[in-house]
Amino acid sequence: MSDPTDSATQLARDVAKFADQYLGKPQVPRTPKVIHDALWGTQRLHRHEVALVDTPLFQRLRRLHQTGFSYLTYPSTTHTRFEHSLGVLYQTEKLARALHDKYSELNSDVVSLDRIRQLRVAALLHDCSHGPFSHTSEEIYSTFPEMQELIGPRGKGFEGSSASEVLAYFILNSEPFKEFIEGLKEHVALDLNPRWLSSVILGNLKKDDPLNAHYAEILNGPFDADKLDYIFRDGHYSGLPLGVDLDRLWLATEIHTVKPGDVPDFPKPMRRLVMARSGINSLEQIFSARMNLTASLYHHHKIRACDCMLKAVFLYCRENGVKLCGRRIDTAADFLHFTDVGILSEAERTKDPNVREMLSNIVDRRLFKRALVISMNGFERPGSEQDDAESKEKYNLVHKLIGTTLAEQRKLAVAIWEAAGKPGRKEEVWLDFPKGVKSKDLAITFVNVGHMDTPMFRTLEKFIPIEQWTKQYLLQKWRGHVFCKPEHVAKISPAANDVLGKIYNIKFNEYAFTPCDLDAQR
Amino acid sequence: MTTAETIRPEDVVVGLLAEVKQRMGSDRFEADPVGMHTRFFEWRDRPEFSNLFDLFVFDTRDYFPYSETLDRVLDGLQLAGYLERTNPRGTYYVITQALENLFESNVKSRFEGPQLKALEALAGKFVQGIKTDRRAPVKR
Repeated sequence: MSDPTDSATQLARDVAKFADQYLGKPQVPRTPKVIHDALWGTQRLHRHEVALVDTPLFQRLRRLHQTGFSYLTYPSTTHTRFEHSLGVLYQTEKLARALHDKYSELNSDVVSLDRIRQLRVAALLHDCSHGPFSHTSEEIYSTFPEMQELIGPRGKGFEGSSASEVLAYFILNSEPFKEFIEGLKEHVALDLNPRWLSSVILGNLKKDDPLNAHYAEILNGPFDADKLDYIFRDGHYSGLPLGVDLDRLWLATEIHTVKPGDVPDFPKPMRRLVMARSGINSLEQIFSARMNLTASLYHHHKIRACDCMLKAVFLYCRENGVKLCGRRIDTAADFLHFTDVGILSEAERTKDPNVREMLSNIVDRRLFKRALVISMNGFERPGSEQDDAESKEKYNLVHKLIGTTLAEQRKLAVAIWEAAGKPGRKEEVWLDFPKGVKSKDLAITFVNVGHMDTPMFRTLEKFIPIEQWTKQYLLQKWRGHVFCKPEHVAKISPAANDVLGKIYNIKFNEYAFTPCDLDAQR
Repeated sequence: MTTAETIRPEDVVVGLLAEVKQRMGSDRFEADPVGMHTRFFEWRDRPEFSNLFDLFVFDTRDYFPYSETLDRVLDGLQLAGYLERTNPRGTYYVITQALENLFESNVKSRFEGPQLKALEALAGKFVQGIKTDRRAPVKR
């Protein structure tokens, strides 16, 4: 096995090559620029920010959809990471400026104008490392050995981080990026430190510089600028009516130094964003909006089916050494060179007939269909109907499925494919078990139940039943799927029934099959 | 007979809670997520316990080491009814008889002798660090 440090070094080198190719020398305009956005209206970008936006690194985000394949189901969700990044800039400015104004009146410089300028740059760059169809490709490259050595159990320096956060760290700490920043400083008086920027984006600042942790929370916290933009933007473009009282949220946010003793198990003084009691409703709205988006958009079965189809392409290309956009998939860094537009255009350019077919099916919306639906209502445990053991076992199984790794899911999918008589290719059968709604960040948000000058802290979960809501989602709305090509549903469906039924000792009922188009023959 | 099956995070948590219930003289203890994640993180670095925690991932960027792995297991045990959280405030975790049965019937055999000893030692440490509710009945 290779030395993990070597793997990290190699990955950093590969990412630096990408940064070198996508940054170049800054082209700083003579004047600031004004940008209009459908959601937030007009905002002004400083000269150095325009220079950053004008790099290929940032322009690349125009070619990454914000919500992946959702546009094949919700036609107007064609918004991109580019728009989102500008939206996060807007939200960062609003929240940071509200805090600056509030504390300036109290003669405190706890949020300085210099730091706001730096935060704005971090906001622009926070998604610069996303791969094609963002989280879909991340699901693949996060399993690569060199990435697991960094983010997996006892990972070297990045344990618990997401794979795209690691790539962002390597971009921002690369020599080409440092040179770019130095180049900016020749034109604009700036105090920008790449390491600080990456600490804010990854949230490491909370650990490394706890008395400035509040800056990181503006961009990487429970009600951060990233969340506020994507909730409104995804809701707006999908047509889902969502709402968060932003004015109240900006006004009710406070900054306090939480000390050991203020909160159980709090290790050392840390300056954090804290919500006044009057802002609790806004946080409740954020959580509710996130639940709605998850149920209606992120976990929509058609969108999940597309994700599986794309993952099939990536795995096929990696396993068979097939190039995409002229590049083999060898490391996580290769995904930085891909965009949604580039990958989909391979449907017409690739010479590999299998890749051509797989990508054409996505482009022409010939999507996988459901062969089996797994939900709490969809199966029984034989012999346990007389007591509550059945429901216990069911819940336990569903939770177990959510925890399966990509490799385990692929193993099950291939077993189903073989049991069905190997119709088509093995990449055309997929299992999909989406994770539940993320809630821990909001649950541990501090609420000030005292006063500004004599605060008392409680966690938000004391006011809102966050944990119960997330569990209800799993009980009532969560769906796992076995997907396959429409013409194979009739064969894959009974095979999935047999294979999964035998492995997990369960009997699927009509709810598992009713949503499936068992007669589909296209 | 012991087997060398892979020890999963859920096995460790089930084993620990079953042993905890035996020791604390109550079936419930105060739900303190921060304390629980912190303890698991500290135990992972102790050589005598470390192999029980090989599959746990911790994010140490915030004020306590948060493990999504541990959270997933605790949520799963609650959804399955093995571990309950008292309503309406969720103040206490209640370890059910079903969890003890699960440990005895399905989980214990996954551990080897030294691992079971380690679990017992961990349970002892865990009980020292939690608030229990002794008014509650042991048998439910």
